[in-house]
Amino acid sequence: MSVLSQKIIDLFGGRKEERSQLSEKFWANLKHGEVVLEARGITKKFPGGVVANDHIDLEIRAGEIHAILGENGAGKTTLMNILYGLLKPDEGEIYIRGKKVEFKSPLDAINLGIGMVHQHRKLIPAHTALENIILGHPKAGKIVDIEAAKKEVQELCDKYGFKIDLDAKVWQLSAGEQQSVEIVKALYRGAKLLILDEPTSVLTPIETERFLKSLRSMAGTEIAVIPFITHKLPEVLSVSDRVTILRKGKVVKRLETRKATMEALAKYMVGREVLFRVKKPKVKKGKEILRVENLSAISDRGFLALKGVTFSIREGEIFGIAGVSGNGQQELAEVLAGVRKASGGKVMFEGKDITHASPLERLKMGIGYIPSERVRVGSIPQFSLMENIALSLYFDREFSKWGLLDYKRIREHAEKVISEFEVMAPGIYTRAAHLSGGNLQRLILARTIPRTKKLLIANLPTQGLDVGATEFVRNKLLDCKKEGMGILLISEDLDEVLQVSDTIAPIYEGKFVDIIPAEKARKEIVGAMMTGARAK
Amino acid sequence: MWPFIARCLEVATIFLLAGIGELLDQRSGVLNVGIEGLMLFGAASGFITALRTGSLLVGFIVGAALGAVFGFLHGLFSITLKVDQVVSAMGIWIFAMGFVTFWMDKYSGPLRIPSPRIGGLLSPMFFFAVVLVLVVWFILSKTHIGLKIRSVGEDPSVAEATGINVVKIRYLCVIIGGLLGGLAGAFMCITYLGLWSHIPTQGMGWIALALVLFSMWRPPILLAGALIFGVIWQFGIAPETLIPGFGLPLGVCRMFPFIATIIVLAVISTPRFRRKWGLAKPAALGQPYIKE
Repeated sequence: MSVLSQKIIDLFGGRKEERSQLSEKFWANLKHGEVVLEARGITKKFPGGVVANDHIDLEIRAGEIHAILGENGAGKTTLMNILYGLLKPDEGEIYIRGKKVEFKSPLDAINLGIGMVHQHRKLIPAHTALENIILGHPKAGKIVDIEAAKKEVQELCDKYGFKIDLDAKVWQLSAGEQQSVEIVKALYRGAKLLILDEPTSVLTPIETERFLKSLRSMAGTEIAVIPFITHKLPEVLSVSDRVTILRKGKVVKRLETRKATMEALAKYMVGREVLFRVKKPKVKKGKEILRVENLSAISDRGFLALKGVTFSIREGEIFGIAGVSGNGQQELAEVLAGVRKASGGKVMFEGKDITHASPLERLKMGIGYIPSERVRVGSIPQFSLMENIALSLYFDREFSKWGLLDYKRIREHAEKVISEFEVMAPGIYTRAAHLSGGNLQRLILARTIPRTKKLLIANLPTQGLDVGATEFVRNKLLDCKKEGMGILLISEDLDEVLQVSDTIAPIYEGKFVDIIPAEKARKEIVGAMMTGARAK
Repeated sequence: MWPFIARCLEVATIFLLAGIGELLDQRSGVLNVGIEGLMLFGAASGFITALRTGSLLVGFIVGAALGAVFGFLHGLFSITLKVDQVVSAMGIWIFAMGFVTFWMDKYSGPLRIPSPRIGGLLSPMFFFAVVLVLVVWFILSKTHIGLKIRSVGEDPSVAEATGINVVKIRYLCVIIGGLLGGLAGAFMCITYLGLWSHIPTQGMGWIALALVLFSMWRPPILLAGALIFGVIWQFGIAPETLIPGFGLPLGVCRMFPFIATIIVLAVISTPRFRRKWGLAKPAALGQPYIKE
């Protein structure tokens, strides 16, 4: 009870933050190259004995772009959260401009000029860009003067080259624009240190270019930029000054970017050689397996998201759809998997019309679906690995009789596929909720691929995965192809689509801009098509 | 005719006070389905205070204060202790039903203190409620604190990351919501009815809740809804004041507001409305905020 009453006292008698002018005074006379942030011996252990950060030292200078590399689970997120005040380190100190600081909450970090742009956007979709930017800002005052705030924010955008429609609701903005909103929000609050989590992972090539330019111009004004990266090394590395690489909670290497190569960096990250180019096996294309005619579909928000696409996939072919999310590819995948109704058009599978077939019927025909949302759609977190795998077996006579599940068979099958797909878990009774992103995706593949005979629909299969897991997923797709399956790959990662697919279709606003054989696809051209530009 | 309209407006006042509190509450992401319970406590404590002290004002104040206490209690359960919001609020409602019956039914009877009425017809509380709706609308849409409230209701983790104290904002809203619920109850019992009888709220709190959902969390629509339901409610209670010699039995008439509620709820669950409604709904409504 005393804890409770203390909580109540903290709530209402709590201190009032003095904040508005603090940051400006603190950051006066900032010189280029000055050490602005120093972390010494940061250590963080989690219950269960996981050491997420093991005596990490870090030094950031004004005006530099300092990339932090590491795989998922290397301790990046923990370090980032410590620097931003979301977590408290068990040991270690943080100095900002030589002054020792302790963050009780993100607010303390924000007031000291630290800004963070999260990978999963921390924006409110139902509010406008401007409302999101001024939210929580002391300058906004009691009654918001929209016009004055807008002018100020607009100036900031112009200064660093961000193009944002400030009056648009955030859900209407593209991923790149949303990211700009987050950065401008941090800058508007006076951030001098900008932590970016996986900044280019959802940007189109053109957006990336513009984004990198903005980064450079920020670094030119003494703002230190700290991107944290697990994949998509090339772009950010091309602009960064220094790199710190983490592995298993420790700093394994610090170096200047110009002295590094991609391969060397990846080796430090993963601890072994990584093949950036998966080998495309030569497979003879067989007969046509899927034919989609003039297919259209309506999105959850009620507008026509897919506006009539026509294509076909043959056995042993990977058909890659490249596009920025929100251009209808999600709806396309769902219609093909049977979980969304088509509003027009036809889907033919081996010559049969399956436009109105149920998801179960499709599963039985040998169509596998890897959904983009691993946690929400792809798995049931509260279920064990075995139960998750059983979700695609229960209807099979081999695994159930008279409505009763044959757990022995299921267990055998689960154990087999889990080792085959290298799902790292204590056992098949572990709950799926405990798996990391990469492992969860392996589990979903382990459930789907062995049951898939003819057609695999993979929607964003490598999104958010680290280098190692990405390589694994891509190789699995190629294995499927070798076995003669037809594969529909939907991806935002242009490099991935180009590397893996035999046929490439850039999608924009619900339509294919073109359908190009892989041999003829050039990165610049396909990249431009993803933003709607037509090839000449 | 005029007395009938005045009575309608007074019913609307009850819906407005309870509804605008609930609206504020829900905008911050806390669902309080127990307004009926808050109103009961407000009604009971307001009535007994007015009876004992002879002062209506003190009655209103005590009623509102007890409403705030139970609003705070709902906050304690659902915000600090992270109990399911529906469970917590239902608990308060059920407790109110039992306790208030036990506490108050022996005082059943008229209050015998006439409330001040403009022109002998309409309580000034109506104008207070309308102004309150406008104030809440202004706060939510034009002020920084309103932006914070809306943000907390949409996504508390985002709000937290921008340095907003989610817990504080939610407590603030849930207490004000409770306060207005209590005031609505006190007003109903002291001014509108002027007497105590067994469970005097008779489902008005639930109608206020439905009105908030129907309003798509916009105060002006709530105002319109409250006025419409004020008319329906009053007509259900005393149809003969509007249409002399109205034939249907009183029991049937009493059902009107609830039938209207079912119709409204059916309409807002049609696909077309549901989409609009889904967009307007505070995204974090009903979810306790648990930091990872």
